[in-house]
Amino acid sequence: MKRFLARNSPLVILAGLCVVLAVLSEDFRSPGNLQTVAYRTSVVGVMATGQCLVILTAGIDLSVGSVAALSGVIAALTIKAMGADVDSVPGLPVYAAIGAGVLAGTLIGLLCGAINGLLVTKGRIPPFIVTLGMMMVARGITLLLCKGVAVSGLPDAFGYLGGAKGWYIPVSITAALSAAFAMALALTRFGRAVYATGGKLSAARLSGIPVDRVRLFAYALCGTLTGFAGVMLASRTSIAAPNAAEGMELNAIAACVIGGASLVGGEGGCLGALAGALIMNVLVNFCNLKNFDVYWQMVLVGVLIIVLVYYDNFRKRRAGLIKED
Amino acid sequence: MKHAMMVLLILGTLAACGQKPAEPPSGSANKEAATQTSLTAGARRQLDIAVIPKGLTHQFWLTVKAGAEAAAKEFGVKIVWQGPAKETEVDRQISIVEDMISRKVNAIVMAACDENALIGVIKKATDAGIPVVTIDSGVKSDIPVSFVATDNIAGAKAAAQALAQLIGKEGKVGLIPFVSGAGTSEMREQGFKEGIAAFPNVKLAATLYSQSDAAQAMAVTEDMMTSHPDLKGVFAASEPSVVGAAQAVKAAGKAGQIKLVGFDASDKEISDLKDGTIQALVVQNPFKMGYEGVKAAVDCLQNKPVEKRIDTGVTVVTMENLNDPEVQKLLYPR
Repeated sequence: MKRFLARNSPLVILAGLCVVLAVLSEDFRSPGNLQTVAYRTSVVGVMATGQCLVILTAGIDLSVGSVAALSGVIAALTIKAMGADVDSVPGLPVYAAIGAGVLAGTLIGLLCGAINGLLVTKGRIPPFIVTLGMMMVARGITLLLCKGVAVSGLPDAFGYLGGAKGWYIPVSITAALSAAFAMALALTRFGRAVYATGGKLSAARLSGIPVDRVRLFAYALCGTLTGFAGVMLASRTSIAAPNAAEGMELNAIAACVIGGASLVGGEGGCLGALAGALIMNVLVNFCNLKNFDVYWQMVLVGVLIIVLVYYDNFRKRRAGLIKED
Repeated sequence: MKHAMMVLLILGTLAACGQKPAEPPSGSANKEAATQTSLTAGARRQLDIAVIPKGLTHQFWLTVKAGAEAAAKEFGVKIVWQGPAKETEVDRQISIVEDMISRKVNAIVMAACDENALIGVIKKATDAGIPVVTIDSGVKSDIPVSFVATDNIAGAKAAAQALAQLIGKEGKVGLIPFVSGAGTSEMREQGFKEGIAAFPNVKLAATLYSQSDAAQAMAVTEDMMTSHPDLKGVFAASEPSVVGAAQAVKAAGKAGQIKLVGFDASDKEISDLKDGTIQALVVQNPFKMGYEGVKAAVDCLQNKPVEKRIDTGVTVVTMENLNDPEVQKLLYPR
C-alpha cells in the first residue's frame, strides 16, 4: 500500500490538493470550474506527455513552446489557404480544410522533433543546445510566416478541438493520449527501452538496445504531440499568435518533474506528468478565484512546486524506490 | 552526482528561459550595408531616424511603423526599424538603443519597455547628441525631447464610462490589465478604477492579469465568471487580453450578456465587435504615434520648437459609429 502510494504520489498529491482547495473555496468545487481547469490543462498536458518521453531518455526539449506556436500558425495558415474562414458556410470543404490544418500543424511538430532527435543522436550535440537552437529557429520562422501579426478569422468549427464548443473534447483527447502513452511505456518493448536508455545509456547500449533509435523516436514523438498541442492552443483561443506558448516549455518540464520525473532520466511517467500539469493549473486557478495579488501568486506557486517535489522524493525514499548513490 | 547534475540542469533551464532570439549576423555584408547607408546619408544629407517599438508582434506596432513610414516619406528621412521580439525583453531593447548610438543615427523614436530601465541609455544617447522622442510608453525622466502617446488614464476612464453605461450603471465588473508593473498597464488600471469610482453602484469585483497572452486572458476571464456568476461586465486593457476575454465569454455562452469593453482594435477584435461579443473598443491612434513621433524628431533636428507632451487621443468605437469614415480610417490606416 505504502509502495503503491509512493509510486503514484503525484496523483495522491493532486487529489489531496483538490480536496483542500475544495474545502477552502466554494467556487473551486463547482463543476463548471473543475471543467474549465480540466480543459485549460489540455494543451500543456499533451505537451508534458511528449516532454516526459524525452526526459525519460535523460534528454530535454526546450523547443516545445516555440514549436507549438509554429504548429498553430501553420495550421491556421493552411486552413485559410484552403479557403475556409470565419464567414464560410459549415460543410465538407470547411471540415476538410480544418482536417488538413490539424494534420499540417501536427506534421510540422513531427518534423521539428525529428530534426531535434537527429541532431542529438547523429550530430552528438547535447539535447540542451539542440533544442535551445530549435526554440529560437521555430519562433523566428513563426514570426516570419505571419509577419508578426496573429492569424485570425478562422472558421467557427475549428473551435471544437480546443474546447470552445464543449470542454469534454480536449479533455478526452488529452486523457486518451496520456493513457495511451502510459500504457505504451509500461507494456511495450519501446517503453522498456526508453526507461533503460535513460537509466544507464552505456548499459542499455551493451545489452543490445538501439539507444539512438529510441532517443530519435522520443524526440519525434515529443515534437508530434507538441505540434498537436499547438493546434489545440490556436483552436482554444481561435487565433494563432506568433508569441503564443512563450515560456510554456518550462511549464511542461515542471509538470514532468512535479509528476515524479527525474531530469537525469529513467524515472517518471506520463500520468505523473499530466498530474503535475493539473497541480500547477489548479493552484493558479485557486489564486485567481480568490483574487490573490499577482506577485504573491507567483511566490506561492513557486514555493508549492518545490515543496511538492521535496515531499514526493521524501515518500519515494522512505518506500525504498530511490537508490542513493 | 545525480543531484549535482539535476541542479545544473535546472539552472541551465532557467538560463535558457532568459535567452534572447539570435542577433542578426554581424558579418562583412552587414558592415558593407552600414557603410553604404552612411555614404548615401552623406551624399543626400538624408537623416537616419531609429524607430524602436516594444515588440515586433501585434498589429499595434505594425501600425506605428506605417505611421513612421508615412512621416519619413513626407519629410524625406530614413527609418531604421528595430525592436525586441517581446515586450518584456528590457535588456534586449537597451542593447538595441546602444547599437543605434554606435551606428550614429540622427535621432531615436522609441516606446520604452520599462519606464525606469531605459532612462540610462536614453541619457547616453542624448549625451551623444542624439535626441530621443518617446512614443506610447515613456520613461520617468524629462530627458526625452517629447512624449507622444495616448493619455492612457483618460482612455481607460472613457472605457469605464462606456462599460458603466452598458450595464445600466450597476453591478459587478472585472478588470484585466496586462503586466503588473508596466507603465501603460498600470495607467489603464488606475484610469479604469478612477472612472468606475464615479458610479457608486458599479463594483470592481476582480482584477486579474493576462501577461499579454490570449490563452492566459481566457483563463483569468473564466475564473472571474466562476467566482462571480453575477458578473455584468469586463474591461480588458490590451489586444491579447481582449481576444482571450472575448473567447472565454463566447465559450461560456454569455456573449452579449456579459458586456465587454476592450482597448485597441485588431482584426480579431473588430470581428468580435461585429458579432456582438464585444460592445465597445477604446481605440488609440498608433498611426498618429508613429507619425507624430518621427515628426517631433525631425522638428527637433531642425531646431523647431517641439511640445513636451503630445496626446494622440482615443476614440470609443461601437456598432453605432463603426462605419463612420473617420473611424474606418482609424481602424484601417493602410
